[in-house]
Amino acid sequence: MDSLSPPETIPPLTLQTSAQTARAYAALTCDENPIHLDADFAARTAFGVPIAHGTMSLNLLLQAISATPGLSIGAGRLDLRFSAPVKVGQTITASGTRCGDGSYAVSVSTPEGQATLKGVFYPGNAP
Amino acid sequence: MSTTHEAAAPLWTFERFEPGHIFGTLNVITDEARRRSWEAIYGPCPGDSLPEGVIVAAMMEAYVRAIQPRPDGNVHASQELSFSGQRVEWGALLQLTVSCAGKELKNGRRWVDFDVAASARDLSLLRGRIRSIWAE
Repeated sequence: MDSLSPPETIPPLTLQTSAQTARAYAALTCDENPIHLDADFAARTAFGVPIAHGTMSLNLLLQAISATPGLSIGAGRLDLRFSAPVKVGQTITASGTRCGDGSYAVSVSTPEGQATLKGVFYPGNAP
Repeated sequence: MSTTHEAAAPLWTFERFEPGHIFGTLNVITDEARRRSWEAIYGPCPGDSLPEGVIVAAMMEAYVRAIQPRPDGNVHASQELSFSGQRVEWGALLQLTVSCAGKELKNGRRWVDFDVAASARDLSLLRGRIRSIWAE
């Protein structure tokens, strides 16, 4: 890659989720939904265990984009779908690959390869 | 002497949502406590520039606070984000306006779109569309 070429990949960035990160994210967003925080409550739902806030994964992806040399969020756009829940305690990894049109196919996945968030990042120049 | 009883606010159900309705504008201060919460999850945050993700977290806070009370079991299905490229620093006061962009019944599910516009000091920062499957 020369210095002017956009990066071909968004290198992987990993986050170990935990009850602690779930509480911190709840404090950050005022989202105290017990599905994220209360194991007893979660046990009575279809998930069975607490699940991470969806935008915790999304923000890991934004951090991965920002940490990529030669790439920034700038005036970019993202179109994302939450494809599977992240169980609190799972490790998640955000990454991306450049497509022919200059956009990036992005995802957040578990170590087993299950995508929990996927979509497209369209870079844009900052004003 | 008369006694008044403050009625509890009605639950936000699918039937009550009206496209175009503005739920309100909320302020979120990106203070030290918020920075500590952010860093507890994503690690040290060098410099003064506010990470874009903090604006996304504020967007979610506004969405949660503006639409209350809400049923349990709503699902955040998808998300569109459009950043302006304007940057602000930690300590900035964010203003977030939450509105209903649309709703539809499809395959037995109650889909509702919410728009959140984030700004600071009259600078537009982010427009986000939250697509939810509403529980009731």
